[in-house]
Amino acid sequence: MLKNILGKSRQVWTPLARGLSKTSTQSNVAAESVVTASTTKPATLILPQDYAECAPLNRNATRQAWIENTDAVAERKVGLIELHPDVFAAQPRVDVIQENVEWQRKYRYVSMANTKTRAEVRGGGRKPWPQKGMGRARHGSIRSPLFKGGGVVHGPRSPTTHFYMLPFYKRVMGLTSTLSVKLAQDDLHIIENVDIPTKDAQFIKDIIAERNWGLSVLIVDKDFMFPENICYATDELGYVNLMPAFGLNVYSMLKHDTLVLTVDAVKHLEQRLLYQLHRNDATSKGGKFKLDQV
Amino acid sequence: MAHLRETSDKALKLLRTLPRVQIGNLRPNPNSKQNDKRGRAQHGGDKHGAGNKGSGQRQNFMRLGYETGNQPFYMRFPYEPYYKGHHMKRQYPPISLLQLQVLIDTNRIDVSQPVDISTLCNSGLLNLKPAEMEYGFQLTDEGLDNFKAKINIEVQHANEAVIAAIERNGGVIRTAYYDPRSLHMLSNAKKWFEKGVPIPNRMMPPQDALDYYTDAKNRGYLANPEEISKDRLVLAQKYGYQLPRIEDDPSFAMLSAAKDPRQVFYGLEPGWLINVVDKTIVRRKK
Amino acid sequence: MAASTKLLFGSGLCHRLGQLTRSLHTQPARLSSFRSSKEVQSLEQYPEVEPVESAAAWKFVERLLPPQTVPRPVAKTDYPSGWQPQKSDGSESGYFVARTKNHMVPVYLHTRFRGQRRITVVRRVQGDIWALEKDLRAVVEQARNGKLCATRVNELSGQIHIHGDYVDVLREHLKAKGF
Repeated sequence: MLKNILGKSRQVWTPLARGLSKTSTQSNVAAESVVTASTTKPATLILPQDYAECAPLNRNATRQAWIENTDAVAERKVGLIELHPDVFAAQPRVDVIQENVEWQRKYRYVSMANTKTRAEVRGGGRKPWPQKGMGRARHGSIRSPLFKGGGVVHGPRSPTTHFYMLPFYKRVMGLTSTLSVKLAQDDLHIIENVDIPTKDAQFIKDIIAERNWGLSVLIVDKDFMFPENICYATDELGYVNLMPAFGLNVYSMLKHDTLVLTVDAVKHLEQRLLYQLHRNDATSKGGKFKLDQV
Repeated sequence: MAHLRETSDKALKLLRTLPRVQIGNLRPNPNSKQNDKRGRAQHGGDKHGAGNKGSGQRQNFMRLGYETGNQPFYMRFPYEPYYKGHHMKRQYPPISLLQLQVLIDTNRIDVSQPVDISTLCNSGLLNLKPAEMEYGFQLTDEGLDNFKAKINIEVQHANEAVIAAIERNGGVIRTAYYDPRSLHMLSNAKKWFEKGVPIPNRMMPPQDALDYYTDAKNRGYLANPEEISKDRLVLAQKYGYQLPRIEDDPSFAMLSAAKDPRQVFYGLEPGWLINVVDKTIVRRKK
Repeated sequence: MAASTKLLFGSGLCHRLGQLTRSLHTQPARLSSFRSSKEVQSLEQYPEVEPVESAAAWKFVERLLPPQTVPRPVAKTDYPSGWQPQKSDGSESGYFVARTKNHMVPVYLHTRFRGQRRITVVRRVQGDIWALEKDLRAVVEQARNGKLCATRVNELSGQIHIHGDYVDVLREHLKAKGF
């Protein structure tokens, strides 16, 4: 049956096996056993992209990716999804990714480093010695910055916020670039859903080992309510995290080695990002960020 | 779709052979970060690029206009109130007929409906700021020869050539006054509906705008309609074109659509409450 | 507990509490604060309302709602403004200049040094950018009566910079080539 799918997909789609070479031999073997085990398999998912909605600005070849199963440890291709090139094959602007990471670090950072000025250091109100007649340099306070133990001039004052906003379309470009980089480096996997059969963390560990997912995994679904099983299974594992699609951000994607998206999440992300790239009131996003803007 | 060897394709292909992009191995573009520290040591601590001595180095420039003791230029002449009341003057940001035609050609505005401020603002390309004394759009005559649309448009100011260009194509133009509150509603109608407030009346024009909007030559909305239809003929003769008969036009209903002088939106009466979420309109029981 | 509640009501404390909240609401407050909005009153205070049962009226509301995304241009026989839809997909020339999201040709003028330096920028170039640069240079040199012109190509970002203001010339040229 799998061979059937492969054969069919070759006819339907131009054979652009970008993300497939890595595990193709491995997965074939694994899939055979699953096929024999379960006879009532659901129909294959073949999800083409609807370019009538949003024509790609990008003349890249379209990206296709396998949809993997989550009901067993062994890998089985349950379908094929076509990804929009404006989102998943955008120019990999690593510099914009870096700017996004820096922004995500800084906008929430408040420096609490603080030094005392000469007014705040205890004492030093009295003139230490008379102005004249002592043969010593004139001084008005023992807490002057010239003195040991005196105040500090131009030292750090707390709290200092480092808040700023990155321009809106740089944030959008950061997301598309990171998704494109992740797909190009085989660090992006697409699963049919997050319904795993057990609450056991070992299942997740096995899946990661079996499918050669990286050390740390970020699993993204469209909804913020994840099924019970996957919540229990990933709860103990610090390196496997769950995230709803609306929370997806550049920093988290890069913090985790592997990004695992559900089909729903992919569709949702494509829809949202393409909306941002084509929105009618894009000029309203171009202005300076104001704190009181809604 | 043609497959071109695109630069992003090349870059993505290259990324496949490179180590994983991670937080730890990112760095900004070379030379993109400016070092805002100034040198303190022997040569770096010299003048820091500020030059030698004087106001340049110490940044203690004279105040603007000060002429070291002379009677300054700005005080040398008696008072002339050039800008008296400038903050009260009504502004009409221009849009040209060329811009309007581009908007029509690129399907940004629909000419099968009457065009007013909200249509123009909803295109996402034009913006009106009533808080900055902008009282609507004036239609200017750039691209007048290439204007070919049959359109029912309402602007706030238009000159004779523009009126002729619109009417030559069988269109209708009207100039109308809106008070700032109505302009605020029109410039983003959806946002205003979300406030959940009944639609107010539109105000009548102030005294100094009354002459303009009651004049048939300007196609003012308060002018006598008979005078307007007479002036349409006069203008056609002056500019030498055959005035199309809009009464025989298949889209006569659209072309003759007009707002009441106290009405802000087409077809929506003052006092109605629009609920965009439930898609209902509510009014006070009679 | 119940007794104390009764006492509370009986003594009119509740009434005074209501007065206090009302005074809080009537005090001048910042416009962004919830306190600046009017308190909701009992239903009798408001006029009776009825829905406008007219589908035609809702049509007028729909007309006022802006589109979410930039609408696609419709095919017409002619475009009087000089704007044209994109025709070429770059398969015969080997390069492609994508339109912007507003369906415009991405040729811009950058002015620097208070207008002393004017640079024409062609953006969103895909495919063989060097071939396009050669073509555009020929066009510009023709417009300059055979004088040489300086260009700069940024392959990574898909941009060509041309010294001088040739925005109209290049835009018309690209439109003529179907981009």
